[in-house]
Amino acid sequence: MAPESMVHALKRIHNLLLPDGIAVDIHPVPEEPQIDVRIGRASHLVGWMSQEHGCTKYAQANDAWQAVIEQGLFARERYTTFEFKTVTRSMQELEAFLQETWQAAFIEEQVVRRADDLMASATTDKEILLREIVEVSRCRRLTQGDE
Amino acid sequence: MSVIQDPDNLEMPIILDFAGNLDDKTVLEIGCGDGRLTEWLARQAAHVVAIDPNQEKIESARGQLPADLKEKVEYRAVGMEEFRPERRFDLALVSWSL
Repeated sequence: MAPESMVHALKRIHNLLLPDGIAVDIHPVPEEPQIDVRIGRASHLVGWMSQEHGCTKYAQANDAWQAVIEQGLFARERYTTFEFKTVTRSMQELEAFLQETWQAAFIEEQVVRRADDLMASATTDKEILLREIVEVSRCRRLTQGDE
Repeated sequence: MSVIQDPDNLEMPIILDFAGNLDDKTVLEIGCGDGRLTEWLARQAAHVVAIDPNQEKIESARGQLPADLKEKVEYRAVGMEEFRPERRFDLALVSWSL
């Protein structure tokens, strides 16, 4: 979604909410998600997931929220971040999952190789972890902009 | 495929905490995908309208919805720009969709 479309979308949400309504927004922070291999109790960083257009759209989402807050359409009441993990049994499984659910995402070959090598070094108790930091905001609809 | 998302179960408790008390509230879920979060919302709220432009995902979400929630959830395969609801909502969840 283009940055101006994001602002437009948030204005549309403002119109869809009752007076005093609440918008809860959840999206990743503008950083590439980390990929780890866990073997037993040890976690090994093997690299990062990449995206076709980088993480700019998440920064743009934050800018869009900032714009509608400055326009007096919403007031941010709460904010937090947490780690959203996706766990798979192999890199191939992770790649297949991403292809199905997150088409802009890809993983560089050397990251796949590093992960495969580590996974091959253990026989049991091992998994792939995709670790995304996600931000959540609670924004109250303000009456500014009402007709 | 045996992919597990959010094994620590952090996402939904945070969303519900941020949403506040949803008793008697109407919820619009924007970008519901295959309905991963919709069931949780429907268990708390009076009514949920869940939209996503992807028809296949909406069909999948409909198919997975427990029978006891079918009265409370309305799935629509539509993008936000084309969405023309008959009512306004107490809560909008913008679900990984901006």
